[in-house]
Amino acid sequence: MSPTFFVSSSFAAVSQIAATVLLIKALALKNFAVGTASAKPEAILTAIIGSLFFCGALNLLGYVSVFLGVAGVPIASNWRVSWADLKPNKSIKFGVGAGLGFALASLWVRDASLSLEIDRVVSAATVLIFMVTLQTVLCLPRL
Amino acid sequence: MIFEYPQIAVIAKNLPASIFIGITSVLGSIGWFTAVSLRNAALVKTLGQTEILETIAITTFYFAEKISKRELAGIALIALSVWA
Repeated sequence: MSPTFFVSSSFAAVSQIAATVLLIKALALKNFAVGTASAKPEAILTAIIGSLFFCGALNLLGYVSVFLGVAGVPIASNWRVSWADLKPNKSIKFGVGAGLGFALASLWVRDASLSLEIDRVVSAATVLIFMVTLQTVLCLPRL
Repeated sequence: MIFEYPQIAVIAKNLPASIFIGITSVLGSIGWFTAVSLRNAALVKTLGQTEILETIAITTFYFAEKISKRELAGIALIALSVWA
């Protein structure tokens, strides 16, 4: 196991915890729909951050696909979000923060998994075991 | 002792539900982790948005709720993005 495995999966574990905390904070607010809504474009964040910092660039069709998918979500899930909700507020900060955390987590998971040069299903499971164990240790004092 | 943590005690009290959630969650995680190992993470997230379709399907067939035209339009966009 290379240092990349431990560094990437540790970062993924921590950013996943941070994202979950932010999402729960957004859910606890009065206009929680705005918070959960602003966490949803994480696919776009994943595409942008992935192509800038993780050498995971997409082709044009890939970007179109990601954008269309994100556009479909608010329509399919019946969101009622007004223009007033789009002014900078706590819900949006928590929501976008959560989306950013989940986007980074998935990119680091991919990094960690690819650093193990073994069968992909096994490497993914190895990353999962390491991350869940680390997250349990990190969260146990706060239970 | 581990059972002195309040949250662990709550889990122990609701053991069947906790085990069910634990098993379904780990299956979901294995799916996500394997998928991002195989393909670009942004594409996996886009495909993962079909979970909304699955949720709508479950509420329709299991909880017998109606789907609106607006929801159908959204489903079409997500389906189009997956096809693209």
